[in-house]
Amino acid sequence: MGLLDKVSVGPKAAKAKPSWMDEEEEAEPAEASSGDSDARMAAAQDLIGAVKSGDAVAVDKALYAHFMACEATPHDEAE
Amino acid sequence: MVSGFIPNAPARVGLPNQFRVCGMFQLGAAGVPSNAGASLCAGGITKITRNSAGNFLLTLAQPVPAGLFIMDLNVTIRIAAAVGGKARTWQFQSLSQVGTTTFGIVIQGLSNADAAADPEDNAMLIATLECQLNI
Repeated sequence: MGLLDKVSVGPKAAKAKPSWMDEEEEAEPAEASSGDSDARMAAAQDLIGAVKSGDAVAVDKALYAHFMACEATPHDEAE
Repeated sequence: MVSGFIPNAPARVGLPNQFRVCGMFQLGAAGVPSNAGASLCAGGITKITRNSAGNFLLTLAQPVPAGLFIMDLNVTIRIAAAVGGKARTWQFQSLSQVGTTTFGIVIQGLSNADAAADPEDNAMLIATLECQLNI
């Protein structure tokens, strides 16, 4: 099994929680719905903004949010 | 072209056995085949280049550390503005590993290089990668 067997555009394992996220604020993935794409776009925009800001914590949070939004979005699987 | 991006922090390994990184690539305007090739956000993903229409090369700062596996690789295209009546036609086609730090991503249907206004004109391609210990 090569490295690429582990690559996909979807979840393959439970996400480890970031250090900044405590039990109370654990994010829940959006339900699969027609709004998922909008959620993903919003997460992407937040990530762009976080990178622009240079705030490392904000980037971490936005990165995590983007992963969670992608998880809830229908997608193509890599072969 | 969007400016003012600063490099993302290098791949952070502050969490045990896990890191997440991202890179961004600004697609050109209508009629512009491609930007110069550099990604706007250089971090754990140091570079995203577009070799031809829909053919992107994603470069990591360093090989995935031994014992870690790539769990997620997401590519999101954030459009800059809606183009009336035009549907998004792009589609993820394939992913391949080119080298220890490079991956090839082919996306069909990105047509920002033609003269017509398309949803992907000036869009931002965002790649996010997550690695963690495979347990």
